[in-house]
Amino acid sequence: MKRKRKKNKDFNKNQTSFYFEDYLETNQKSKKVKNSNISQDRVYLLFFLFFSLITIFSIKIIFVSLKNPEIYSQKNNLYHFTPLRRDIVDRNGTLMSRNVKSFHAAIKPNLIKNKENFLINIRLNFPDLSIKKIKQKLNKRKYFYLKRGLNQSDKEKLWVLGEKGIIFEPFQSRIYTHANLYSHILGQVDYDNYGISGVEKYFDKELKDKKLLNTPLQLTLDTNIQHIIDNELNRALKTFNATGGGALLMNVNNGEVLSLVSLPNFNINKRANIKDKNYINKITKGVYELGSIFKTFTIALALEKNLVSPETIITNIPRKIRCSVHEISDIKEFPKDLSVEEILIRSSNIGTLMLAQKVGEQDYKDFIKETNLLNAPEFELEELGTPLSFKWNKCKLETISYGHGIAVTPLQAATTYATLTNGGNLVKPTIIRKEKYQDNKKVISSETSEKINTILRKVVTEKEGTASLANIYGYDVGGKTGTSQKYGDKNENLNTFISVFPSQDPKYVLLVMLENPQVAKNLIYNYRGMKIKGTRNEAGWNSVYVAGKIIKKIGPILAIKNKEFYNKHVAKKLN
Amino acid sequence: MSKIKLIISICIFSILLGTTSAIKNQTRIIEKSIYKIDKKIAASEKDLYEIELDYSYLSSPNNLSKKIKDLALIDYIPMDFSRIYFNYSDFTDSQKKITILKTNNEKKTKKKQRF
Repeated sequence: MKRKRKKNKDFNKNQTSFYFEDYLETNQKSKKVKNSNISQDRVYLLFFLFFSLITIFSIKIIFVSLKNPEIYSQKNNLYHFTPLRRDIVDRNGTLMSRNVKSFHAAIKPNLIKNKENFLINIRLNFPDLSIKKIKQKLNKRKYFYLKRGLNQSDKEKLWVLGEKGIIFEPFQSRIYTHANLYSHILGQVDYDNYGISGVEKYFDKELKDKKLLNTPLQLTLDTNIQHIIDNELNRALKTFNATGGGALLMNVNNGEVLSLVSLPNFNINKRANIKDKNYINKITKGVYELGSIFKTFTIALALEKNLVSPETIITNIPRKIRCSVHEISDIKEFPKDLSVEEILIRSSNIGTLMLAQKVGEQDYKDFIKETNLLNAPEFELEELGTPLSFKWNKCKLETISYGHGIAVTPLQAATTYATLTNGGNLVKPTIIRKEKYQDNKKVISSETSEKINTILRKVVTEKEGTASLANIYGYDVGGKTGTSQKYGDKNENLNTFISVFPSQDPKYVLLVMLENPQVAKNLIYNYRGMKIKGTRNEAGWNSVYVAGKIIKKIGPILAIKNKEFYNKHVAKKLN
Repeated sequence: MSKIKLIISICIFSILLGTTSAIKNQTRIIEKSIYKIDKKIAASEKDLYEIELDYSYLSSPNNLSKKIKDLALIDYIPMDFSRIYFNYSDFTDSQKKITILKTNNEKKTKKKQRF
């Protein structure tokens, strides 16, 4: 018994009474308790489930109310249009280029029931399309494009046909709101939205940057000024019966290009295969001998090296000089003794040549190297011309001094003028608007720059000057003309005028160039208060005239936008 | 005791059930309205996007000058900058100067005539 007690662990010594339990009843009770426990667990589980659901929905509500609505727009991308390329705007924010949803018309030959009827309809609505080719493609039974880049009326015409086999395939087309105006700058994109020319090609990566899609690419160009210059230049082509022309307006201090016009131009909204060389960008791609424009560089160098002053008299200037095989002379007969400034004012070839000889070949070479005149210009366009290289053989310095035997782009010539007139700081031309422009090194001193500005002003104001027609009241215009024969073709001539205004403290440089201008016999010039008919064909009688007209129109716009210009330079008649 | 617990549990359960369905329903309504509004915004944005393009084309200087030629008989000429006044006081100042100049000139001519 003892052994049993020891073994029974539940045995209680103090237990005095005991009772008998019905096993059946006890089992039922325990079952009930067990069941109630299970149901309680279920309630807790359900409670937990509902609590989690409430938490999830509450979180969702908070998320919906706090989160940016963009997540929904991304979700419903069907309704949202996301352009593949950024917009391009001008300096005032005027839209120049934008992507829009457009359609190609494609054909699924299997879905076309009555092919003959379809072809008749196409011939009636689109007489330009080759029916023969379409028929061949239809017989091949492969998906093909009927017309790419449909306009609204074309789409409606096709829609009205009600043909199942016509598929309107969406794509993004690039629209250029100013059509011809910026044809040489903006360039074009292909059907896959890859830039193929101009700014579109040069900034292809930047324009496709998804992070910047909502920020337009801002150029330095001004649409209003561009239109005025384009208009005046177009008028000039008619007046002087010229084959082409170009103009460039640049800020002399930071190199911002406000306008770049090259004529003839074309509509960039239309796709055309242009092979005519006359359609190149004449300002950046064209390489020309710009003639007397270079004389300013020679005189600036002579002044910079302190070899002469503007008043120094160069005596015994011969009428003709023989240099190697070349015979160099002046267009007109000038006095034998001319001051340095008179040499530039009257545009004497021999006088300039004599000054270049004083400067020397090495200094001239260094200047050309510093101003980057013989390398391709650094500019944000694909279409850039490379100046023609040459050997510095006998007489090269002499001919280069007055702008012959050296061919550069008009952009480079205008940039060098900006450098010479802005106080001597090297300028890098740009069409991209920046907040800060880097300071460049000095090429000539401020004193020399001031002297050059004074002489350039005299070219316009002096009686002997070659650019009197550009003397526009209030704008203090200075500049230099250049009349030259086209490199490689002596029958073609090129008349250029590079003006700087206001010449006391230059702000802008304007280059105007006309290709093969003729004498405007019907034009009556207002020359120094006299009304005279056109009889001559030098730059002073066409390019200068056009530049004057342009400055008269763009001057107020530039002055209004430039307080400093307004306060200092714009004439106030009443004061 | 267990009965009370059960009743409380059922109450909580039914409250939670009701709240959950209410919240879910509300969320669905909100989402639906967001979707609708978003669709409207997308459509308006697209319209605005295209209207901006149209505006840019219609207000381009080339188009405006063509319209002026077609609609108006007035031949516009460039304005001298000295004749543009930024505000009214500038204009009145210049007018005063003109009148002073005129009166001075008149006085001078009268004096000359007397002599």
